[in-house]
Amino acid sequence: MKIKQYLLSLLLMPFVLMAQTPNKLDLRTKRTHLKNDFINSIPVVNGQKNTTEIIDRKLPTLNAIKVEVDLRQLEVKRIAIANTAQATEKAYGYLLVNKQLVHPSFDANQLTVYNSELDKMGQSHIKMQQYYNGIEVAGCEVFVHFLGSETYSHGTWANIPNGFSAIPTISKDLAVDKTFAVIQPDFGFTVLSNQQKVLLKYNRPEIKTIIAIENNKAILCYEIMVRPNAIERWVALVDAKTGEIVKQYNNTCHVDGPKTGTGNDLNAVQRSINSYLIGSNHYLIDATKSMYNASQSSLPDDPSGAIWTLDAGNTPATNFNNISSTSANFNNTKAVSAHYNAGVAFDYYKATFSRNSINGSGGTIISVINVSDASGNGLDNAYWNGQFMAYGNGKTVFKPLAGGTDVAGHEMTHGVVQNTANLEYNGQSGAINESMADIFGCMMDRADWKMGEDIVKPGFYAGGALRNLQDPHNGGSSLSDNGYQPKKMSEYYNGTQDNGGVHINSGIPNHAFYLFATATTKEKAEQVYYRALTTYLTSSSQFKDLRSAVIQSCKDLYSITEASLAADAFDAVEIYGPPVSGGGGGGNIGNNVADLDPNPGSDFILYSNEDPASSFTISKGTLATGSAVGQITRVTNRKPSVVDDGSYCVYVGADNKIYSLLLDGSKTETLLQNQAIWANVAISKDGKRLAAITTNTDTSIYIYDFGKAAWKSFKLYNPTFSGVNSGGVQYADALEWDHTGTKVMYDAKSLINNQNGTDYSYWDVGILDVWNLEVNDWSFGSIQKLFSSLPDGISIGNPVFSQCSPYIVAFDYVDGNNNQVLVTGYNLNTNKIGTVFTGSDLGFPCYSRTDNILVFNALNVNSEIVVAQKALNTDKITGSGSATVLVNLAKWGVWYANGSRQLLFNDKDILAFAFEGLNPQVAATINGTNINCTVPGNINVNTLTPSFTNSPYSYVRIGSNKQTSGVNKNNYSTTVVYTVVAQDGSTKNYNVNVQKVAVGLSKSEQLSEIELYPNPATHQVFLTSAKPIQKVIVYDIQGRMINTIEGNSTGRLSIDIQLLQSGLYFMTVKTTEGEVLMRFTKS
Amino acid sequence: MKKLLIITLSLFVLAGCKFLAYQKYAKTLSVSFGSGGGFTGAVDEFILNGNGTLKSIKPFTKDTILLKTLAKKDIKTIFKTLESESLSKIKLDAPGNMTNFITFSKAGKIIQKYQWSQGTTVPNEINELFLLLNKQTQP
Repeated sequence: MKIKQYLLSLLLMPFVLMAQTPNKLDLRTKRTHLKNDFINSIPVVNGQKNTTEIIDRKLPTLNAIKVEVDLRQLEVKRIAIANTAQATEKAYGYLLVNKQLVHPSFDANQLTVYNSELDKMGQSHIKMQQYYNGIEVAGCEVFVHFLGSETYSHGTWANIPNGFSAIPTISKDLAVDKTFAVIQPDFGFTVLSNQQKVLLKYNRPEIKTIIAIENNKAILCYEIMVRPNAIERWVALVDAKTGEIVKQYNNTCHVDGPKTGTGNDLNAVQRSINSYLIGSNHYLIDATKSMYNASQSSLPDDPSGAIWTLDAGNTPATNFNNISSTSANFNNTKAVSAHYNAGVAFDYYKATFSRNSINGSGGTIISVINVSDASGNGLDNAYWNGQFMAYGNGKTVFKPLAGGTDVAGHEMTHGVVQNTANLEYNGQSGAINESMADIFGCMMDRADWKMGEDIVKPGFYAGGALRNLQDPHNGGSSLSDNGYQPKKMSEYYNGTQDNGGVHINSGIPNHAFYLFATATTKEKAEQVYYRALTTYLTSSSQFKDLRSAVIQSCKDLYSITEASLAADAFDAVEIYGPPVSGGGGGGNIGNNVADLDPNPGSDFILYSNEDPASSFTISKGTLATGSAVGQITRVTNRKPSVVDDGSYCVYVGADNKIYSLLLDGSKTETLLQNQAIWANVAISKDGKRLAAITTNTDTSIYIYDFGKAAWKSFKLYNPTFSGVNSGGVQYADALEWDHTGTKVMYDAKSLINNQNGTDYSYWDVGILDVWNLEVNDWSFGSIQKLFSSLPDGISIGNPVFSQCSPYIVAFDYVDGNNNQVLVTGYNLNTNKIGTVFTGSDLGFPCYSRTDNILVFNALNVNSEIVVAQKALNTDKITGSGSATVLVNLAKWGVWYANGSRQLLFNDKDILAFAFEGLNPQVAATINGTNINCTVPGNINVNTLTPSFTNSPYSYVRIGSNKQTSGVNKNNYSTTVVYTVVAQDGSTKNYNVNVQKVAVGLSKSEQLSEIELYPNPATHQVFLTSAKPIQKVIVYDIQGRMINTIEGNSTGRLSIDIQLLQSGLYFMTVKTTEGEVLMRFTKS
Repeated sequence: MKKLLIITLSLFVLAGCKFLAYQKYAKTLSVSFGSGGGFTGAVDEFILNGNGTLKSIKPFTKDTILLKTLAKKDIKTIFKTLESESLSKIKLDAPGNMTNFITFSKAGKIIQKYQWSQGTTVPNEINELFLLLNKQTQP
């Protein structure tokens, strides 16, 4: 009744916003670590340890011989304090009694009171300085406080070793000379006027003998203060025995903030360097960029929106230290290079594409220098690890890699790729990933087409650079030559090394870019490629998709002219595709996708009943009638999960056991699993498998296959390209099966330890591959993240698939920065994201049967929880109109239907087949399961590379060898059988027959005797032949027959093409002597 | 007493046979590990064979250098770990810009391959194994 009551009811008023945090998603019950000895009644689930990677940026502790004093006394001991003298006496007494708590070497005689104070509250504070043989031990003080009934002390004590000599051996004058020799005042050296000396109370350098504690050593020093000019005040510590400079710093009182100085880089070029002054130290933190966020920065260890350069100290990026200077000038050439180049990269993306940093939303750009290999040796490499750019110092082949602007651009672009198309680092998609990094790296260092020319040592690469977009062969002739890359598809590397040749085959798209950029301009080419990367490419894009994406981007940004030039560039590297036409796209971009038929049954909604007047916990509503019926009274941990035909659901009860419930009206509840360990469960749409999580802090998802009657655990992890600073997975919570029953989408909490030791956690969404349909067995458990990274303060969770479009999902987007929860839609194929609803609490969204509505939790005007609904646009990821209440006093709406439908795609067709590498291209005709193709007589059919398009979600093999369009070569001298395997495992064989044309006629004879004109043509084309033309058949680029024209005895024929769309076409012209294939363009 | 001695001898013989059998079996095993990728695409690879030889394959030049021969107990520890049930259950295929890898082969056939990019959170078992293997490369 409630549904009917509200189906047509009130619009939801703006919902009350409540304070949210990224941990809002963490509504889970308090978790405990999984016990190692827990017993499972069904085959099991072993306890898993958390695997948290900690990135520790703490500075090392150096003062081993210093001890921190903290003698807080918990025992109440009232000390009557009459005056400070009395307090001083008491302080000594107190320290003497408790000296063992400080350090065995503690000697109260080394302390001299320099301040004692009796405050207005009657509390006394005694401050003491440590002296050794009358010489001040710098930085070592002890304070004792008498606070009413309590006494405590704190401070620092240094253990000066026995025998330490406190007698200087060099003169103070020499120490002053050394000080002047080493300091680098920003304003130079000037002679102070008498007036300035009076004003500054400075006549000459001020010298004090102290004992400094540096790097665990006590050093007798002269502390020398000098004023090199009227502005600056420098302090140096000079070893009073050796004359060495222990420390020197600018002690001028500056206002903290961004400063600009200079420094020479690795190429001996003086660079302007932006640093940040804190106290007397300048840190390599560039806070001058527009992305800098002062309010979220904690300097120097946690800047936000800055360019930040750190030093790994010749570790494999396991330690990180800030790089600082006592002036705004830096003399660390590697640091200067890395810092400067990161700024160049940021500026390039900002100025050229208005891109705000690597992640597009102002994330801090971190560079790390002095990174070693795993053994601590020199690293001949630089890399992007998902979080920062790491630079080795070179070894055999390279100089310090921070010295290359194109290196910085390359590495930073990996971050941009990660945050946009997120191209998988494998095979062709990985090669595109590498190519994009090279292309934009090259554009940041655009004087030439070489990569790494500034950082290679002489002699190793014949071309003088690591790679070369202009000439990918780079002075070599085969893969065995240093720096060689293929430059066209016929040179494609088909092996397994280098993740399927990601650094090798990138030469092919690299060269296409070079050809395109030189045919147009670099300025146009970079805009086109950036659009292709950010708008059209997807994680699994292949070379053909890149071609289509670039051509389409040309059309979007410029004109058909640029698109044609792009097509020519790709043709030249033998990445073929349909010819460029004025309208439409340049072919399919990204994966082909398809939709399932909607469930043909009636609509129902299952929901958690939140009406306190009702005894039912789960109710079922019939949407056609608006009626609702209570189902169970058992409290459930999470929302129920329903099989696709709506016959039953599963859920975890408050007793942490797994139950099923028939939805046929019988309300039959069955205990599926009686261990009280479960937190959530989901059943696959086909009912073949369960996915479950335990109540523990458990990094695994447990899958139960009913066919095998077995559990298998899948441990969760965060792939690098899944996120900047992704941390370690703690546990999953929400679970959702895809339509195939092979993948589980989940949300999981990850934990990051930051440098201050305060844990930061967030939720994100992954898709876990658990079942392999091809072998009908467990899969490898690989994980793909929905988003490669999330901005600071953002979490996502409660993901669901749409009911009919496997590539559409919805989830809760929790914006901790703005205290909002957005119910969000996302298209995995196009990477487009949309907002359905902005609310104040988690939505737990669910799609309707036909995906035209999204239901979700919301609050009504009375702040009561309801299941709301909102119409969706046809994109299924954005909302339309206003939200309305579907079920009042309810939550966790699960929309389902009770019909049966095919859940696996059975499409297994070859839709197009062509030899695009031939000139002219040759498209095959597809008749049933026969694919017929006629090629010119001079073509060697023993080694041809076809391009083909097959049904979405299917794959193609010859025998057992999987075929990749545009990659695999085959021998077509006899019929080749292509097998298309549909998602449901069914197969369909196609016979590919390739025939040569014009037996008895050579190509030259054909061409000389038949003429086609004009070409291109708009209205009609004419054929003339020395022989009578018997028949002409016109085909489109896909090989589809368009028209058949009967010939005549004259040897002249006109063909009307006015009705054809613009593009490339073929025709077979049959004469009394044979047949010839010709092509023409309809303009 | 005599019976006990026979049993004891038998146990020794059996144990000896088992050990010899393992040695023979171990010679068919090998594990390669290291890391590669990055800006240069170079791979720094080490190969530990069942006979204990540890070799380094240098990036760029591809020179193979014999680093050392490991003690039998160390070899056994490593390959027992590689063959452990807990490790065999782990699937890890997450290459990235800089990818670490461990490839376990028997008689030239790859049995297990783990690869993950630096920065990826990986199971402790893999981390510990990778550390153990890298430790062997130290002089």
